[in-house]
Amino acid sequence: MDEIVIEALKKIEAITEDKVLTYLVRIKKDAICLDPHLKEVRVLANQDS
Amino acid sequence: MKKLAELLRERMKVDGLSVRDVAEVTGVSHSTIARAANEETVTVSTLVALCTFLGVPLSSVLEAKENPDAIFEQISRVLAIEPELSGVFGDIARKINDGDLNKKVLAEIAAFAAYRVERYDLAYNEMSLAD
Repeated sequence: MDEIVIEALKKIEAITEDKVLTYLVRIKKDAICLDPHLKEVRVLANQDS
Repeated sequence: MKKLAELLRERMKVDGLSVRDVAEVTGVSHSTIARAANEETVTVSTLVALCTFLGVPLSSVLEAKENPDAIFEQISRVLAIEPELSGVFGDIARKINDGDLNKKVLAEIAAFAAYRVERYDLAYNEMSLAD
């Protein structure tokens, strides 16, 4: 398998993993009412960083 | 990852392999193999190891689109949800234009990105169920 492809997939994995984890942490803390709109997931994750 | 799980379970059944057998051959932990067979999320490293083990291309487990319009639409949808991925697709586009990469891989990368951002939906649904 092409190393360039694997590298791209790993970048995608890293970017999306952080967002999902942050989102789940938020859910566990139950500290905020999340907007169901998907873009809000990204905004909330950015506020944490 | 449904398609990967189906192929893995089928191979294990046909060859009479246990989860530990597959773990030994692939070098992936048996718990990860079990998760993959149960359609759970796997890392890129595991995905590559299992595709190699199964002898199938990445495109077959990612259910990549073949139609250029469908691929473009998939990328557009992914970037609408996760704009940060635009850098990855920009790099890939440059490498394709430079002739360093076959454009067929774009479908695989798009399919993987779509699979990953769909997890945002899953996370939200889990929260909804918890409520």
